[in-house]
Amino acid sequence: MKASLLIIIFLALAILGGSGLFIYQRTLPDIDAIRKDIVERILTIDSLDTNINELAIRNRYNFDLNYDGVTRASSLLDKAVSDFGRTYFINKNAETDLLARRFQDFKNELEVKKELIENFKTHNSVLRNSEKYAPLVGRKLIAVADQANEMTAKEHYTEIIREMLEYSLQGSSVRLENLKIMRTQLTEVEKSMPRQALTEMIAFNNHLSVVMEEKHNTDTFLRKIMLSTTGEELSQLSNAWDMWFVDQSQKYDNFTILLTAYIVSLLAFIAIIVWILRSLYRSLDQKVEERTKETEIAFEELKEYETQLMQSEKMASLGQLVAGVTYEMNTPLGYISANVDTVSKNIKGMGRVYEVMNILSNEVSLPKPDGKKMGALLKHLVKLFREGGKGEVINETQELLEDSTYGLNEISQLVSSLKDYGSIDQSEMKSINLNRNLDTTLDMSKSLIKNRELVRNYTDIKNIKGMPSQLNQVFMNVITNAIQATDDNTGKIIISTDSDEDNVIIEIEDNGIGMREEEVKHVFDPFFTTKDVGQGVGLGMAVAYKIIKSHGGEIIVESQPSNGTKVIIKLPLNHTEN
Amino acid sequence: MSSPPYIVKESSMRFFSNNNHLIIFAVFFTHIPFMVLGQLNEPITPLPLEVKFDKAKASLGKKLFNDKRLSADNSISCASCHDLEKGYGTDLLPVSEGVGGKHGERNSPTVYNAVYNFTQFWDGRAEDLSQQIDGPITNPLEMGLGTLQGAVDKIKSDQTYQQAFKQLYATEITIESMKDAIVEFEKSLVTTNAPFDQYLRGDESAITAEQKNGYQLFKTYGCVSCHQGQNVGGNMFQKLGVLKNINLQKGSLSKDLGRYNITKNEWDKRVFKVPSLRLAAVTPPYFHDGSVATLKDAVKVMVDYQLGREVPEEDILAIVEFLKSLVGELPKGVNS
Repeated sequence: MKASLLIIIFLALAILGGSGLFIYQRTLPDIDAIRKDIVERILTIDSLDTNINELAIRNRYNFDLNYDGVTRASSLLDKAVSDFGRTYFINKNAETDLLARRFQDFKNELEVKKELIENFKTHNSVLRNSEKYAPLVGRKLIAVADQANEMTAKEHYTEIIREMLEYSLQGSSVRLENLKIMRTQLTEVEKSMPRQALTEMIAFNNHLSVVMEEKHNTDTFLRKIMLSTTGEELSQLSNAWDMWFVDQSQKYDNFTILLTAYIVSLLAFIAIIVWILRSLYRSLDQKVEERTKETEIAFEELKEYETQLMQSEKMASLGQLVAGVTYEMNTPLGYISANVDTVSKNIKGMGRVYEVMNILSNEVSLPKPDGKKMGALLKHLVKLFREGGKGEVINETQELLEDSTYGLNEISQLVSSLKDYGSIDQSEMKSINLNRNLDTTLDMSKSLIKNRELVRNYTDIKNIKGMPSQLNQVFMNVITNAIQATDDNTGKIIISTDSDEDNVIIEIEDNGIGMREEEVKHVFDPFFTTKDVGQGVGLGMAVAYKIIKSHGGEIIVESQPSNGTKVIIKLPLNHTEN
Repeated sequence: MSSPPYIVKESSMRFFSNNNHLIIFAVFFTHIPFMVLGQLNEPITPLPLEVKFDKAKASLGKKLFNDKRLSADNSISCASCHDLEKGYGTDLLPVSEGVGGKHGERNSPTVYNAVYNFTQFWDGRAEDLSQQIDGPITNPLEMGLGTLQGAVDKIKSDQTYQQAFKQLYATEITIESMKDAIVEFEKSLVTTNAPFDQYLRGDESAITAEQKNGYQLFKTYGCVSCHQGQNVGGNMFQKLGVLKNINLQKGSLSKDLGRYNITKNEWDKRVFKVPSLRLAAVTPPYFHDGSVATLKDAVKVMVDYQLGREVPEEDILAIVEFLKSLVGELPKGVNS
């Protein structure tokens, strides 16, 4: 009781603690996976970011003639960054969360950079157009000046084109200053130029201005791109993540401590329970020992009692036997005794005849017999003979003695049967023919059988090895049951014997009241009886069962209420006693 | 007698046999960059011959693209303004007609090859196709549904949609999945294998001599400074009127301030996305307000205001011819 309560408490605590830890663990992020992911993402973003710088330079110096490369890289970068944001910063407040703030900083910087790149592309295109076209127009103007023999103008155009090309290549501010001065001088030069070249002059002026302006713009944007602090922001972000990881591993350490504490307390609890259980089992062991002893004693007693009971059952059947024997013997003894009485009376009568005959014989033997006396004696003798029925007494005595002889024969037969049955405790295996044993038992039961129809379906069975007295008792018990179950006048008992290869089979069937299934089940239980009080203690079938088992045989009872009972006994032909 | 050549032969043989792998290595690694650069050095590159997209989702997207229920009065579908057959993804009108006969302010650009544009809309206000979808559906002048959820709600009642979405996205119809299906369809809208692409891939006979000439002019006049890359544009912004004030133009081109409306940067006034010229030859009229009717005039405007040059008529015509060679094949399955 106490232990089970403890176990319940223990389980409850274990589950509570375990699930608490589990939930806590679930709130902890999977650092390794996140670290790997973060590192990968930051590396990707960083390499795309630097890649963009390189691609921009390639565009500026005409390694790449289109912006597909830089555009693709920048859209990949966009995607990587917004993916990053979607995965880690979707519900983070940039004002409270350091990581989110760093990420936001980086994104802001990246936005600036993207804007710079777009501007660079736009201005670079314009510059590219003009730095290509301005020299072309310029050359035309040189040709025009040459034709018009305007050598100053020609020289100035040549000079300004060279300066422009160098500026567009080197981008130094000195060149720009030179160019500015030369451009102001250009207004003077243009005045000397022929009017038909006006369009070209305007175009040249335009494109020159565009080169000067856009070269500056483009370089500024490119420089700003190169100086963009996205890289620093990214490394700041990376540092922030590192700090976060340190923070998280602290949490993990806490978790590990909690987990250890949990496990230790669980183990402690288990130890307590084991200890309690152990002491409990110890007392239990003692109790079991006591109980075992008691049970052993009880078993011994029961065994003894069983033997006693078996003995008493034996006595009971003996009593039955005695009753039967008494009954059987009483009748012959009765009439034998009566006959002896009559014979003795007859002999008494005859004794007086012999007395008279003796006196007469003595008288005759005398030398001088007295006739008178002899006559009186003869008279008396005749009187006696007549009184005695004139010799009928002899016949009657003869008959009486014959009757008595018959009665004595019956008694002698009964005694010989008893002799067979009486060897009940002779635990000696004999080769026996069960047909004979059955007959003997039936003879013993004659007084009980009364008017019941008795059918013996014997077959020629082989001898088996067994203890006749015990088997007799079995048959006696079964037949007694059959008798008790049947009516004195309408009862029918069929006894069949048969044999197969290994067994002798005896069936004793009656048409009596039968038994219910429930009763059949308990028929071999000791003290189980369906009979009235005094008719049996309920050991008959139990004893029978025991005996048959000890013979290595089998006993089966088949019965249905009011449909009779059939007892089948199988005994092995070759039973080796164990 | 024959010893000198023999010696030479032997020594050369020895040279090759001893350093065979080195030679191959050297040839390989010195030539590959040139081969690659040779191709890269054309400012225009071909569109890929095959495009990757999810066919099932794209076919669902196609259905949505053609579904007029995506408009307030069930009169306009995406395809109404982006006719995939006759108009090469446009309606060939200066500005499209939306619900209730209302007109927008900008010309419908083609949906073909839009996937290769770096941003969407004339002013580039949408970063990608998915963002772009928000525009026309919610615009009261276009499909007029107010919100995207409104569109989702309208198509939700359709059992076949419900089934298709459940099957492909394992969810109910959502804004995201609806847009994704349409985007997936738009990914399939690529006009591959244009004659010019074939030429770029090495087929000299794929385009005419005039077109080749036009391409050279396109490069030398500087058009290619902005119209470059696989989409011949569509990867940068540019200001309208770089070399000549656009206010001087007789038409309406100067009215729209373009990107300035979004950024409010002074410099962004009249800055627009450089449009792709892939289908320019077949998708008149031109420019953000569709105010220029012919390609020739459009090229003239560009040469004048963007390049600041005088270009002879025949060169303009050659460039127009070249632009025709950029038109690729309509993807299969679009017409059915």
